[in-house]
Amino acid sequence: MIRRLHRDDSAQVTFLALAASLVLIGTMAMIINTGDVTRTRIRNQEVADVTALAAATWTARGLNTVSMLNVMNSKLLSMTVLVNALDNTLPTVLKIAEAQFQGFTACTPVPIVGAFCGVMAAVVSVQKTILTPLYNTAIKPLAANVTKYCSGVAWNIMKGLSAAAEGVRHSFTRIGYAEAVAISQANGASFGIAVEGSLLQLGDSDLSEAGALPVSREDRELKDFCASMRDGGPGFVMQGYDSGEGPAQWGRQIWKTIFYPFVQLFPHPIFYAAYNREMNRLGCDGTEGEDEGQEVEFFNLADCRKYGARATWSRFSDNTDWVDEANWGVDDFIAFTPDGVQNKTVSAEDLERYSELGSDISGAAAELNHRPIRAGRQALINERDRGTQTASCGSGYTTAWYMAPGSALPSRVGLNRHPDYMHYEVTSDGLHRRARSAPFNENTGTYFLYVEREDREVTLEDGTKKKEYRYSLDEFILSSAGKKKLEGEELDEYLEEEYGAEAEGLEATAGESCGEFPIPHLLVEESDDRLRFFAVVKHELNGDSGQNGKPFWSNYFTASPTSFMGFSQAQVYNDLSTDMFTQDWRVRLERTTLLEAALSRVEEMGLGTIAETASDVLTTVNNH
Amino acid sequence: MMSVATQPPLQFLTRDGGDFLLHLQTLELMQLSVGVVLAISVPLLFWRGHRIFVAGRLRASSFFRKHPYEATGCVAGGQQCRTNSASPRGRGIASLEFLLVLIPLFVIVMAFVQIALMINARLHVGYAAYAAARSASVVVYAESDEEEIGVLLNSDAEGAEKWQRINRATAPALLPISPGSPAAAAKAFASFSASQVIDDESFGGVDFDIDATATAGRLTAMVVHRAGDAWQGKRLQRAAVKSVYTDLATTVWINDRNAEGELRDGTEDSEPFDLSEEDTLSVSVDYEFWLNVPYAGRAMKLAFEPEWILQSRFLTPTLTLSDTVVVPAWRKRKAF
Repeated sequence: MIRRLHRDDSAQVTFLALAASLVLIGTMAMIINTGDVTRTRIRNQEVADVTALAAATWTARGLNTVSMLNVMNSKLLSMTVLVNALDNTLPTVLKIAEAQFQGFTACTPVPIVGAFCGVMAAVVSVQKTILTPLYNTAIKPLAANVTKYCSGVAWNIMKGLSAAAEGVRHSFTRIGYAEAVAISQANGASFGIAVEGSLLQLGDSDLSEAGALPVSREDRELKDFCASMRDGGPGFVMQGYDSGEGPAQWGRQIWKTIFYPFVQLFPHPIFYAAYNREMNRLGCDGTEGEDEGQEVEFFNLADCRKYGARATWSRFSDNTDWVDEANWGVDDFIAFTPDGVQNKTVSAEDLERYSELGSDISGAAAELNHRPIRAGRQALINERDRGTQTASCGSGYTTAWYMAPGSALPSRVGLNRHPDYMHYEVTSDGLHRRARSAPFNENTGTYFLYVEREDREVTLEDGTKKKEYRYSLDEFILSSAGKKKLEGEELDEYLEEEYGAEAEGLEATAGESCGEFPIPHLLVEESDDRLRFFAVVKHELNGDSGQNGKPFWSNYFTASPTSFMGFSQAQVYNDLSTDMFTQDWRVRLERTTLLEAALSRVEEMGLGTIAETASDVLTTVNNH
Repeated sequence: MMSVATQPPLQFLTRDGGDFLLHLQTLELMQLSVGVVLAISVPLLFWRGHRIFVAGRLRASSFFRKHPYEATGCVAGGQQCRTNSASPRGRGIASLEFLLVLIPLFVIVMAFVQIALMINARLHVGYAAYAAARSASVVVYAESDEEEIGVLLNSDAEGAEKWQRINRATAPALLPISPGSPAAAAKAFASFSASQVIDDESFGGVDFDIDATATAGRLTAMVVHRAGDAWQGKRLQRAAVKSVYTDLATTVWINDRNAEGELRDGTEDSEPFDLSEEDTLSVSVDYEFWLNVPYAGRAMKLAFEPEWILQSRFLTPTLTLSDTVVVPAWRKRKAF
């Protein structure tokens, strides 16, 4: 047999071809197997990544939603503060406007300043026309129905948003867990799950909080909104606010700008005080971050003296032509002086002469009432603006006007004590009251009048002689009682003195009496591991687990595994700010530090050798 | 639903911008198609050769010319032919023919085995590139004790950690194709080290600088990779050798810069690698694959690197296999 085979040389090359073919088939199987393993490993890793990201993304969504709700509540609270501050501001401003309107109307007939008063009366009238409907149709109803503490619409919305945030806190992370499982299976994994990082901290995790967002309103207060309302933050910058400016501060700036056309109604200090009171009511320090103080323009010399300001005086001059009326006097130009001051009666002659003053001079005059009369006013022909001067209000009751050298007056003189000058106050009833004794309250508009008379004698054509008079008027008007930047307690004291007591019903801690009130959900401390998600997935080689799809050739590569475990870790992060008012939570993959941290816990349990070995393995195969 | 900015997890690309998985699959299919053609044609060739040389049954329809036996009247399938070939003279001729066939057959088969091993290794290198890119995508922008976000200290700097992690990530992919016997590993290392020395025109010696930590890590990875039988026989020793060789034979490049601060253009940068989050990371892995199939390995080396013949041709050659994966600048992208 063997000899026959030895002789038979047929098919010897066929044997070689067969051997070669086996080698070829073997190497092809090896390549196919390597390709399968490689692709499955990569696929497995990608599914682990997407599983971890799915869970983390829902947490990021939840944190963004809660941040948005906190921002919305900050805006609503800011609106509450602003509307309520306006509700306390505008009535006072309107009262001032009414008084100013009457005052300016009264001084309209005054020579020299009459035009100014007329213009101002018109301006105040326009201002009243704007502010009155604004207050009656917008601010007042809003304050009564929308921003009213505890029961207003805005308050109820805030409570609703706060409740919604609580719902988000309990649901979004759990949705993420469910989606993580679903997404791993949809991508062919036989097993896939994602868990929150804190659950891997053996013994340290709080299972009751598992599946909830790492935010809480426990131990929080209404005043936790203060910083965001006042100073904003990155989340507010994302919404278009300037850096360092929250919605309350923004609104305050807006109203500050709006109030500029009403500046002589003093709305700024009034509004600022009301704003601070409203902020304090929420438990916020309203002046915090307010380093600019408030510039206050005084309107009487008493305040000017008290706060050490410098008043501004304007000087005007005028004169008449030669007039031939013998009975002309100072009061023809400025005021009516009832005849017989001592007996306080008005003569019939004077009544007739000054009839244009109407009832103001009827009967007995308890005061020295004055008003310019038309005849005198019309006789003035040469008004001259002599400029303005600022002067310290000094102490006592001296009101100074600094005169240039060479002037007819002493270089520095207290006008109210100067024998040649008459001191008048314009009061809200329109009368020009001549001050008789100090102290008196020199408000803006107070003026001093000095009238000088020249006389001459002229001969008429028929040879008779007649006396003629020419009057020169010199007038000083207190155009401003000075300005001063007041801050802190000094400002509060001034506002309280000028504009009365605090608004009614203010409480330092609004909300406490309301039962439920909005409180921000803020990130819990030590939440790092609660913002990390660890995913584990398993893939079978070339097929789903249930189909036993393992390729036949894999049986011949015993070193190659046929199922793969993959893990991944995703982190929820916010690079801008973690203040829960910044809706910029994002997710990213990161190294699987959670496992290493878990091993450190194992080491703490006295299993150091095991933990060390496992850690070596992890740091090596952890290509994540 | 509110938008959340997230990292697209499946966005690893090839250097040309294509999908990396598709790239691997295409590579495998293209190279397998060559294998299939060879696997069919080689047996067919020798099967027909058998007929030509032995059975003499070649028909006129064949694409071969008529065999001399057929020309002399050796009828296909006829007894006469086999009788003739069984004669002492015929057996001599047949032995000669067999020898003549065996040599090219051997060469072809060995060449194919070497090609198959190269294709196999190429897939492993592709996976290593993926693993390095995956590692870089999370390690580069993390913060370590000594390295800030986006900063990678050169691996020889104190406190350098990131490059080690990225390099080590290639281990599970490359250990299976690294030589496991000390002798083989030494030959392979000597081969590519000698090439580098000659390339550098410097004969100052061979740098045998092993990163001990990385080596230990790779060794551990090998143990994990062969979890079931690592402790049997010489497995552990082989694992250690593979680990050392992998450490020496692998270079990871990120944007054309490696762990030592060397650049592709031959220059060096001693400053830490500073990457911005806006940077696209192009991660390449170069691996010195040992062409250990006798004769065929040298042939392949010559085929791919003809200049090798002028260098260290006395050594068993290694061939540099490389693949690149791109990590897009993903941080600014949004997903829903």
